[in-house]
Amino acid sequence: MPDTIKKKNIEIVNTVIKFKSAFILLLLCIIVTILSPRFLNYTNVMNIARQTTVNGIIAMGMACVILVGGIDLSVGSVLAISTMVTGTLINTGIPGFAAGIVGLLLGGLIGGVNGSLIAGLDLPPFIVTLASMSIFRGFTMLLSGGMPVSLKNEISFIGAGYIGPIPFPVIILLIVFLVLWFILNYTKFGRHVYAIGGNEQAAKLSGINVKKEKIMVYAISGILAALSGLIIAARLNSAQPDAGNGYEMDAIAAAVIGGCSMTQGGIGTMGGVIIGSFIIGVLNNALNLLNVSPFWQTSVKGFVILAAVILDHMTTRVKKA
Amino acid sequence: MADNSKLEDYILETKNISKEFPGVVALKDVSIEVKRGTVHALLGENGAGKSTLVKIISGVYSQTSGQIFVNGKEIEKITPKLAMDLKIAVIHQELNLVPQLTVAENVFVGREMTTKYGTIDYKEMHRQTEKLLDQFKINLNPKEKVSELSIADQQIVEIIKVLSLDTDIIIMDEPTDVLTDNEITQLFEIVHRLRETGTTIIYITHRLNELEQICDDFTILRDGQFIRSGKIKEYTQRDIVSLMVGHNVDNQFPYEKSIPGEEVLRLENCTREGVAENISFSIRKGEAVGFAGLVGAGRSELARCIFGADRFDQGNIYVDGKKVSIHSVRDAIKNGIYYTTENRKEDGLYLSAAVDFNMTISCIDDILSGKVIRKSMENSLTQDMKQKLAVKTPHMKALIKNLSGGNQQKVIFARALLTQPKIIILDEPTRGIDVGAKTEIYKIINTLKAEGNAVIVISSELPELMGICDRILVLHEGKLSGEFSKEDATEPKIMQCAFGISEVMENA
Repeated sequence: MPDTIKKKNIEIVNTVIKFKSAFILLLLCIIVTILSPRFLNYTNVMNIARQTTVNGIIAMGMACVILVGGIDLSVGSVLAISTMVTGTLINTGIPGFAAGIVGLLLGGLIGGVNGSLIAGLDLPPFIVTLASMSIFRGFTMLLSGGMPVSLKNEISFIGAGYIGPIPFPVIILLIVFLVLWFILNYTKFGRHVYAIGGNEQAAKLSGINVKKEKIMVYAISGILAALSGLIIAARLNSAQPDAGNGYEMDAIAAAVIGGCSMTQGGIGTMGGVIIGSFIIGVLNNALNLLNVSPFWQTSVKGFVILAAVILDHMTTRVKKA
Repeated sequence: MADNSKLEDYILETKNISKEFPGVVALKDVSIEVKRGTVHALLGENGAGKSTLVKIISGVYSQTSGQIFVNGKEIEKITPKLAMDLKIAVIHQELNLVPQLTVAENVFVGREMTTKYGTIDYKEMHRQTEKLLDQFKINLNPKEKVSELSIADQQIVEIIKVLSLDTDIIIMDEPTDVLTDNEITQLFEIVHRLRETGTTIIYITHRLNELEQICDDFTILRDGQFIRSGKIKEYTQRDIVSLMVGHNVDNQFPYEKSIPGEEVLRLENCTREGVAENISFSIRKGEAVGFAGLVGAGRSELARCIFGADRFDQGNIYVDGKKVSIHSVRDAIKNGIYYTTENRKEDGLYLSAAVDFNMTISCIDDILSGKVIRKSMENSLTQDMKQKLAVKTPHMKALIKNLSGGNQQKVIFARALLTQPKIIILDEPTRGIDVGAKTEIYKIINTLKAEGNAVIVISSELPELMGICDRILVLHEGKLSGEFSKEDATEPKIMQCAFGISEVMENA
């Protein structure tokens, strides 16, 4: 019967739509493999994975914030201040591990303060996090005097270590992904995140403590920004005052390419965000391999984001019809 | 021509106007005649079709069929632009002012006066506004910012805005709702003055005691149909109420009597400023109690307070005879109270989420094992609910936005039931649902009663409340104005309480 065929076609279309970012990543990899023989080998793939780690981790935190209908522009500055504090502590003789923990907690604290201002005082997330982006970049400069601080090889393993053939940062990315995926799908908090983003008014009437959950989400974003800061600093063995500058843009891009909706919360998955950050990672790598000017790279990234949003808009319209 | 001179008498006529929306007939063959220079009241219950008719006359909607005559000339379709050219203006219930601008700027917004240099001519705008204010004896400063005015004064500005246009017909949609007695008197003076200058006014109101003061004629609509026109003087308020209510009680209500058990919920002198005043009542197990009242009487607001979404300033709530303190929705749920909203789409559903997500969002604590959601338990609970409430969905992971209104409502019922409530408040449970699904909803209410729940139903459809509730409480401006058992309840009696006509209070 033509009806069942039609149904099947619709199912196929829907599956493609559902996993569209995965298909795009696959397509991208195939094209680059054809264009450059240097793309598909162990060193290069690990290289992409390692480079994607930093953005991937920030993007997952950003995605949580976008899921509750917010935005966090402060991630780059949070990354900088927390690594700078970690570095400074190491230089006063505190063990690297403890200093790292302090850095992470500081990230969480700043995120929590952002969240409290946004949820508690009902201020717009864009403005609050824009302000803290500026505030903490300034603090980083003040703390360091604008100079990099050495980490004295205390935590190098986090950034440069390997477990078997896999770089340690990639392992961290994987762990963060699994933990967040589990939280979003199997815990009450995860449900609440989707509910608040989906319909905040309904969430209140469903008995959800919207303020508390929002604060948590911003805190998570802060912790993850601090974590990727540690990875960068550990690899370079120094905390840079201008680290993380502009990283919020790549994180937002990865979340959006991965299927998070900026116009409506409650839409998006961690799997999508990982794929989104790998699309950006592969794209950057490919443009390098193909000797495209770095000036072009920035523009191309912009076009890809735009294409992703247009594609998303079109496919959601198709589903409605 | 003789025919023409007869038509001249009427400034506005509609002939057999019908308006259909997908699945709903909002107006059916409505013919009204409005005499030039009169104040014509347009009356009817909530949903009778008054707003639809007004929207057709002012060009917001176009009619599906029927004719409109303005000044005796047939107008095919009125558009907003044409309405302006025909000198028809509407004063809306909701305010359309720019709070940051001054009174004068608001009056002339969109058609600002300019000097010969192209800059705004504030002097002239202030002068003209002043003139208008004087003409209608209103004490407002044209240079004052609208945001600094009281709501009532803002309403006056809204009226002045329309008066500054050169209009022949002004439609006022419940203009006195936010006004105090003083300002109502002021408004009535404006209306009188307008009538003296030959302006025709179509006046929509829920306050029947206003009719005698300012209206000449009336037209009553019910269920989208024309019921009667006449002179106000020739009818009593009671006549008008019974005409508005009608007597068509068809039996689509599968009511089952239950034997009420112990008291589960009692409110004592509960007050929330501007919303609810000294509310006291109690409900027993297995009882369905209806909240009747006009839109804005404070029924949903009262329910939100009981549910902890808002708070009472004063008063006590007792559940199972024990005093409870409800400061949040969570407190209410813990005490066995659940409220389902009147606006499913706005603050009920998670439209981008699946059916099971929508069902279990309020009861996640009950399906946790440690910190982890037990999906198997969630599956079985939601499957049970699907069976019990006969929810039609292909599977539990289907997106809720693809379900019909009736099934969406059932999913919200499921959400309520999964919290194992003792008291369920259903706010407009059948709004936007087709007739078949309505009967199913009523049957569910019966089941809930039979299982020992107390059910509060808020509805603007009186036949529905009378059909399914054991008892009906009537609210008027935040106060309880009447109480009827199922046997005693009649539409005229309830409507009189809803309108705040006090004589029938002793029937309560």
